[in-house]
Amino acid sequence: MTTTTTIAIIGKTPLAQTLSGGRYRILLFGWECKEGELMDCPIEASWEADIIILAAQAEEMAQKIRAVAVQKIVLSNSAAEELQTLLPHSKVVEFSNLSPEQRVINISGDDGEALFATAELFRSVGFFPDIQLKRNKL
Amino acid sequence: MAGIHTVPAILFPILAIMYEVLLDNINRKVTLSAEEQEVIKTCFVPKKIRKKQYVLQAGEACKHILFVEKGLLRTYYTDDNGGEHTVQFAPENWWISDMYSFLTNEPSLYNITALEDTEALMLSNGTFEEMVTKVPKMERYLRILMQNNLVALQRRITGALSDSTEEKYTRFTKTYPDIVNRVPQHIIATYIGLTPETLSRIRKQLLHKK
Repeated sequence: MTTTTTIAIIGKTPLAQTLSGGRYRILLFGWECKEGELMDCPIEASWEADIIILAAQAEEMAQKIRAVAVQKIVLSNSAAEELQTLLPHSKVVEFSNLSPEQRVINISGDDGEALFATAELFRSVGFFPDIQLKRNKL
Repeated sequence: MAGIHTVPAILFPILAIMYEVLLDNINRKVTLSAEEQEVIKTCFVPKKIRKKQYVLQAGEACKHILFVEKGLLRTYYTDDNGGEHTVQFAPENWWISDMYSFLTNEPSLYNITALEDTEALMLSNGTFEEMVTKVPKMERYLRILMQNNLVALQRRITGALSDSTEEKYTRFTKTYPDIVNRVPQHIIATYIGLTPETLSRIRKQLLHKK
């Protein structure tokens, strides 16, 4: 038995449906789908989460959730460098758009442990992560 | 320690209070400078945990030490017959973890679950080392914490071996004066090592004595 990982998804992304195939608890802000629980506040959703996915208005949302995202993995397909500046104590990981046909996903960031955890997350739902460690912090 | 980024707690007053509770707890044992306090704030994961949610399940390695700011957590294990045995409660201002698993990365025997909606600050094993390197005073704080924990553990073992059932219940109420009415009786019974029926009888006896 393992503890269920809670993932907050801020903004609409097909990742919610993808990740619902794994053993994750999904909290949604900004849109609804049957795979997750709708939350009325991005801060509350991120506070409960182990992993946060910023799928829309990443910079604006980053400012809001900054205090509750400390030491958490924050995934985004926006430029990781800018987000990392806004979230200095979070582990920002950038991911490429999903390619359902090839099932390959590029992930990059400067925290080795966060990249490893993100790779595991995508592997668990059938993707093949291609990892790029930008700056070796390990 | 120039160039430390501070956590903008002003954006989120509840979190500011949470850090205050943690820092107050630490400052009772060691005195931290303002800069050291800022470093500590950047090491802990703020986490809201819902009632009945698990933060650790038996069989997985324990990755965090948790400080409870609000709410109530419980450590327990399940025996081969499915019986639950409560090892620890962690109400406000208490720390909770499976230290053996945390330090060795071995699978834990324990479950840690929330008896109430809880707000906690979690320290991961990776950040733990980083924190004591940046703030060496935390080593002293953690040593004091471990000492107190060891003393409490020895007392609990001695009590479990030699105390009467009445004494066991009285010790529980002294250890956790604020949670007697927050925890269901059958769970308190699993902490003391009694059946719920025996616990009920003892509580009635103690009430009559008063």
